[in-house]
Amino acid sequence: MELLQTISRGINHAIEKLLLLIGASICIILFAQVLFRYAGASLGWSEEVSRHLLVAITFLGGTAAYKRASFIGLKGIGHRLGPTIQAGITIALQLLTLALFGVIAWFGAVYTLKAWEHTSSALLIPMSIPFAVIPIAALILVVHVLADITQTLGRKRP
Amino acid sequence: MIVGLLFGLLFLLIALGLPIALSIGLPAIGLMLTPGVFPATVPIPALGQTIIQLLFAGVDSFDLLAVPLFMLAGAIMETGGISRQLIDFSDSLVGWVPGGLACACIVASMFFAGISGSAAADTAAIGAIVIPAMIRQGYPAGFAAAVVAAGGAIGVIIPPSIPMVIFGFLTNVSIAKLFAGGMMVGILFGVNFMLVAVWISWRRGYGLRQSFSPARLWKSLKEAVWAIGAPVIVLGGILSGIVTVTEAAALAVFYALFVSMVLNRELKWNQLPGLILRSQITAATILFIIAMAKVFTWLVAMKQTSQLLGTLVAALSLPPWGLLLLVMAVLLVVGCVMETTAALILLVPVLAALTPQMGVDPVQFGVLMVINLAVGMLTPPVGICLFVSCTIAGVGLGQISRAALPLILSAFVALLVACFWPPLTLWIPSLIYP
Repeated sequence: MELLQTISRGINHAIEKLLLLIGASICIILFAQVLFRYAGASLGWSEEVSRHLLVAITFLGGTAAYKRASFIGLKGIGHRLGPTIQAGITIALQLLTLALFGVIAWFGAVYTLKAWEHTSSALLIPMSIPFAVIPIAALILVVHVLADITQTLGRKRP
Repeated sequence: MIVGLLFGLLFLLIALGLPIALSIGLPAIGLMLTPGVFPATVPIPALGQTIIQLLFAGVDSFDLLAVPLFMLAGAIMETGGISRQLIDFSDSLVGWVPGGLACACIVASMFFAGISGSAAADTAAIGAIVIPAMIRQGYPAGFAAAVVAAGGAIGVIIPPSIPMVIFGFLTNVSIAKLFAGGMMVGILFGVNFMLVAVWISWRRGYGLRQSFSPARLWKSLKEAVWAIGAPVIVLGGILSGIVTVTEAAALAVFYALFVSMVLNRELKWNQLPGLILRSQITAATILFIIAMAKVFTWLVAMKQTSQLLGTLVAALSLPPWGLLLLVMAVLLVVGCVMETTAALILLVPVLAALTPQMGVDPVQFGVLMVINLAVGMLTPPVGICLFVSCTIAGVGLGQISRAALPLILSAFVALLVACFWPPLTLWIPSLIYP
């Protein structure tokens, strides 16, 4: 149980480092794109790379947002119905979330393997590379949700 | 049937406290994989593949890149002393009228809106400085917070604007034209809010009166000139076609860095990673909604909802202005109870198809939709500007909502003018893009 939470925190730490790198890269790539265009030598790859980096921000950033509990939402009506019902709702929602990310991870992995034959238009890399972000992020979310579930259960027992 | 179930589950999950992105994704993906929703000839793996492609396509866009970048630019400006300079300048410009600091707050918000694309960023950046100052001058905390929230809502009307980027992305309406269309409306909103603030402050004797000082104005102008120059560069670059919206957002980041680090020397290198990370994660919360909503709206579209709605609207046989008012009323209600991005993404594909029947230009409709949602940010129970502002002021949602009521009413007036007087939104776009 403790191990799961340690893993979840460790992964999130690494993902936040990666997000920082992606954010800085996008700024520099776009700045370079403008400079090179007015210097008369447009970059052919910058738009595609930054688009794929945006997809990475969405899904990897989504895992960090989940971990920091900064997803936008309401407080929910559960807190008015007493602690037992609230705990029940929390667990039910966590299980649903777990199923959602599990499904995305599974289909994402299947499709990522399949997309190996398709290549991107500018860089000519296999589309598996940008698509891989989705199953990886979904898998990380599965770990985070599992860590949350153990925490909720641990809180209820004593 | 399926669509009713989809929306029913969506609202149920939101009410139970599940984050909006997941409340959108869970019913959509769940129902897509439920046997019977699609004909048995469509195999489950094919549907799974569609889900992944939709999630990817939902955010695989060069235009949407502007979202994290405008957020980062706003965060840098807030930390780097730019918002303080804008407030000083605005205070020396309009601080001498009754309710001077309240007016200065709105003027500063309008300048800040010219480089930030987010109402929450605008509210936080201006509110953190202005709310304590207003309370020191004797304004009630609820009123101070309401004025800051109203000023912040202008953040998405005056370009650049993240909701306009999203609207343009969803409808293929030119984002630059939407930006041009938002300018005069944004100024009208600002003037309206200032009139209300002056009137209330004058009637109730809020705040301190100060005299107008040309020397102070000149001094604060010299200090703020780089901050005021930012909107000119960002908007000028976009509207003249020198850079795309996304490139302008990247330039805004570098401009804000230059002013904050080199000129003001208020932003330190070691603060930068925190700002980048924070803006990436905030952007991800919005982008995640967009990705999930792509699956949701695809399923809604597969069930021919737009056609159904079109038939329903035709059956109502309303005149164009009546239909426009009806759509605006629906948007206002939705804007009150739902988060802006989610409302925009779920409603745009359905409502944009009705623009011919409403007799409005798509650019005008885009601006109207954003204004509506901006008003929604000012209204409880789900108003992001109110949330940010009452957290800073330390007042409850009820207190700030009562104080915000006159401001919300004046926003309705501005909204009606924008609805029925098209030149307000279309004149500037027609000048720039003849």
